[in-house]
Amino acid sequence: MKTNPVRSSQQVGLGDLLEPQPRQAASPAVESIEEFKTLLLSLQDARGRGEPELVRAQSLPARPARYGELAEPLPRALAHVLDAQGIGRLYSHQAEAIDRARAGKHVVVATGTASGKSLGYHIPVLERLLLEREATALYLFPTKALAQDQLRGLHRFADASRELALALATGTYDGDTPAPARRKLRERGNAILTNPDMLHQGILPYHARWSRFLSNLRFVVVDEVHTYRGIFGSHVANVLRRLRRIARHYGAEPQFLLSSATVRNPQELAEILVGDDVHIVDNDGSPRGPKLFVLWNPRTFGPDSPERRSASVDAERILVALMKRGVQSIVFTKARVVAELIYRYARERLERESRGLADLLSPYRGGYLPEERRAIERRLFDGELRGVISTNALELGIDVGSLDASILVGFPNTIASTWQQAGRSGRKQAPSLAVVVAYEDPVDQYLMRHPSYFFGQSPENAVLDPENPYVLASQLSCAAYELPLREEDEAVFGRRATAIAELLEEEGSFKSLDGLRYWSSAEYPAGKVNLRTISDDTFTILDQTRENAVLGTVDSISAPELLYPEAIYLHEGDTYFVRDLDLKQKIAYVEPRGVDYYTQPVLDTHLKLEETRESKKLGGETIGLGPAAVSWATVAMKKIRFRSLDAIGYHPLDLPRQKLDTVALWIQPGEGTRNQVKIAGMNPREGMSGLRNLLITILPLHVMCDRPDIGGILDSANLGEPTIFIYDRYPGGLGYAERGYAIIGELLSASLRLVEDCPCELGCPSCVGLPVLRPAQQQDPDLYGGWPIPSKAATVALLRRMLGR
Amino acid sequence: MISSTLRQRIGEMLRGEAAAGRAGTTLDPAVRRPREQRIVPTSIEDILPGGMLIGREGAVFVHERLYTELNERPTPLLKKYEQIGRLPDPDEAPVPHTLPEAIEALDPPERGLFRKFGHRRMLFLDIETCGLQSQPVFLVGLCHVGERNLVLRQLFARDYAEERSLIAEVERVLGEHDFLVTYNGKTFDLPFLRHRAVYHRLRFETRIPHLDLLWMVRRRWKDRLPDCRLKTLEWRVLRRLRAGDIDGSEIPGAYHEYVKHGQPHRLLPVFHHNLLDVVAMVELLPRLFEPEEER
Ligand SMILES: [Zn+2]
Repeated sequence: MKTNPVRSSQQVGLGDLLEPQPRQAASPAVESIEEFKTLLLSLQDARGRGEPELVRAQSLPARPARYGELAEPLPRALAHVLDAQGIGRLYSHQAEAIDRARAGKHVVVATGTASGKSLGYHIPVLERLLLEREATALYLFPTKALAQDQLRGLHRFADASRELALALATGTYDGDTPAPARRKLRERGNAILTNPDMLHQGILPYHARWSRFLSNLRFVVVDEVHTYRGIFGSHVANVLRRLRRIARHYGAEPQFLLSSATVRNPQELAEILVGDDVHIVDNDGSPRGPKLFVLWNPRTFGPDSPERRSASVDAERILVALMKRGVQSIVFTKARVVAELIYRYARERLERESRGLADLLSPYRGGYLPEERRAIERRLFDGELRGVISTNALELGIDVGSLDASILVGFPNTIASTWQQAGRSGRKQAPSLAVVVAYEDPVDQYLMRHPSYFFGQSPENAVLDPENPYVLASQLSCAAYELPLREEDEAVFGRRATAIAELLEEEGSFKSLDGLRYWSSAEYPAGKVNLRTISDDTFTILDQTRENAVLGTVDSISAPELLYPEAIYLHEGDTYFVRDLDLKQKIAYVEPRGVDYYTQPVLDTHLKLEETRESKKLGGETIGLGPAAVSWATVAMKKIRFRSLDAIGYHPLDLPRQKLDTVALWIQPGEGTRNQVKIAGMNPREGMSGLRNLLITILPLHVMCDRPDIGGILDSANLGEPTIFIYDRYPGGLGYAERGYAIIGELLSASLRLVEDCPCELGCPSCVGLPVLRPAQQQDPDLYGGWPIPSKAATVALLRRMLGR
Repeated sequence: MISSTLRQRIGEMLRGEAAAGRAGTTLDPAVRRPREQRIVPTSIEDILPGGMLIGREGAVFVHERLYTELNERPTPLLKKYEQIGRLPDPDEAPVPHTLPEAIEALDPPERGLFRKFGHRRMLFLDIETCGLQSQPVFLVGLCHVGERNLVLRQLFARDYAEERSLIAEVERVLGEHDFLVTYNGKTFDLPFLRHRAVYHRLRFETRIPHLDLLWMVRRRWKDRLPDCRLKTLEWRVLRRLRAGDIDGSEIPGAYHEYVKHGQPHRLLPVFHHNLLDVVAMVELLPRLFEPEEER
């Protein structure tokens, strides 16, 4: 065999296969984690009063590579592709995943960021496409961007082998695919990359057009399964059941190959999604250099001042110092505006202090044009960009290679996300750094005070419930529309499916004939079922000074919080003045304008109880259930000066309210109960805040949803007395509040147990404090203190009275 | 998406489950609602003359009409079909293989095509369905030229299960003819039938030459008509107004109601609508070969 000239002498792990040897720096900029520590210590403000910033520096040990051998050799073309890239050996987890897939098992690979997970599915799929001319494979990604990214990965494979290039007919099939390309893929594609929403609305209902593809479907690849939890996951699990059923109708039984990032229960998650046994591969064989994990708390203005410096400004200082040292870094922010602000600050400083680096820095977030995002990803991947400031848009597995340092501005809302973002830095051998910069927010501050608490937490469970009766009623409708339901199909959809089907028949949507249930209505059910809680509608942002050229986009929920008239819209650090927001056409008109401030929306959210459907007494308390409308709007804007964060203006706004019609349960403590808490010297309202937070932790465990799937509000306006409302964050509700109402006694007992068993003294994020209830996504957390952690004692006192203990 | 009644019934079901302490596999008898008394169901056979046709895939209902029953003055049209259908001289050039070839060879006028094939082997077709995609087709209107008359046949699936035999029968009938005439059938009717056949895993291998009148109409009248819907042509070209026609969007619902509750009278307008569509095509076709009238 001819030796390929690009063969490198260096032995590289197979994880690099989709990563065509980017910038393997000759020697790392920082050679040990001690150097990182020294660098950070030097950034502490020596003159500052208050506690030093560096709260904790935990070192995580290096891990050597472990390799594995395949039970059977790869076909020549594939072996050649690997060989051509100088890849000798597979990591142990890759070999295991491929062996299991070849043995016909469903497999989920749950290993770390950048461990080469995708090889675990690409190799078995490509092998099959090479060996079986007719075979097809469907790839599902949670976002269009990820599908694009993996398409590039497949193309890189094909580029290395003519035989593979001939065997592969691939492309992305989503809302952006033009009609002729769609037709071509339907007719001839054998590796199609799409997302669950498209499968649900754009493929399954048109299955006859896909008969060739479906009847030869060998593999379904489901990437990033940890994103399929809660309501979204419950829908997706049913979409996958529909896919299996249709494939079976056309004579195929596809095998599922899945991959997951950090969650506590990847195998369980995969098995619920697929509805079958799934083999788990979680023994990560990829090597990892040593890592320093730092908790950084911005200094207070004085020993007695509770106020701290801006987390954005500290993060920017760390970023610039790292870049100057040659450390390629990524900053993760919780809001888009923060990514823009830090970029602006860092760029200004670099222009002053280190000109050459200013152009090697870029912000990255949702809402940039796809080609802009692709360009940033490519420059990052090639090692050209030395710094990037991103929202969690880069937390998902877009392949930008591994970086040297990640800086997290504020703790992400979940432990899993924290590890995911921290894992974006870390090369095979070189040392890496992760820094969490805390906000002046009670939860962040709690974690800074109790660093061991953070390091001791395991990532969250991913919870989903495909048998949720409301989800099931929607999904069975879609399924019957595609293909009449047989008795054995109903079993596939779980123990409730037949009962729900009977209700749909009673309602007139189904009709039974000879043991089959047919869709019997003129409606098109898939058109009315949204898999996600938030619609993927977008607003377009047009620059009026450039003949209305498209500047970017924003989702329709965020638009009124970001693009109200006279707002300053930040795009790649530049300031644009919003002239007009056309809610009907979904367009915002902006013009560039140099100003020294940015704007922040003032949001107003409230819940209106529509009616009391049911109510009952629990001791002296009243428990109720009924339809409710949750609405929110941007009611005013604040002008904030850059860097100093001084508020320099406040203007009321008049924008229509956005509305969610749903179902809420409520708990209204009796006056006696509240008085008793008061007499004991505690604030009953604080106890109610604590209980609201506890319920948002406890209820999901009983109704199998994700925490963000429910919401909670304290309010006195509806019933004239302080009341806790807990509602479903899904139009029409999904039965969470309803179920909560039925088992309220159990929920309250569980809440009391949880808070009493918590080892904390005054309350912590594991009990009465809750990281999910934080400012809206468009707000700069630097400006808002977050919600205080309510008193543990008041919460316990309230619960004891309510339960008569 | 979920109606409020259904929402309420699911709530009752869940409370039933909670009372029983588990999720049942079917509805708890306590939750099950007695079926409402229905109006005595009748079927389409009871009110439309016709018969059952038993094909290789099962039965399908056939309703047949003659053009002479539908039109008070049928003779002019029948004469025209006599003319355009005269068979060609065997000494002339050989018959082209496919319809596009034929059109290519004889453009203009298309009249030549009919001379070559002869009208007796021509089939008009128009389908009624429950939706635009992946939904059953339940009524297929056909028309062929018989001895001294035009024969209109409507094939009907009395329920969803009979769609299979309906499609098999259409496929068989297509095989007995030389070319097909539709209105927008290249885009809608034929692909739809083909997809439904794939779904039922039925053979549907027809390669019948296909004349889509919509394309000819567009070429000839596009500039003079507000749109090219069949109804518009009926009024502007055939000078006839359709009265009391069912709106196309109501057709799926009417069929579902029939399958569920068996009230054939609500379905009659659908049969009527389909028949009128076929008749309009039949009457329109000769006009497409006539020289332009000055109006
Ligand atoms: Zn605690």
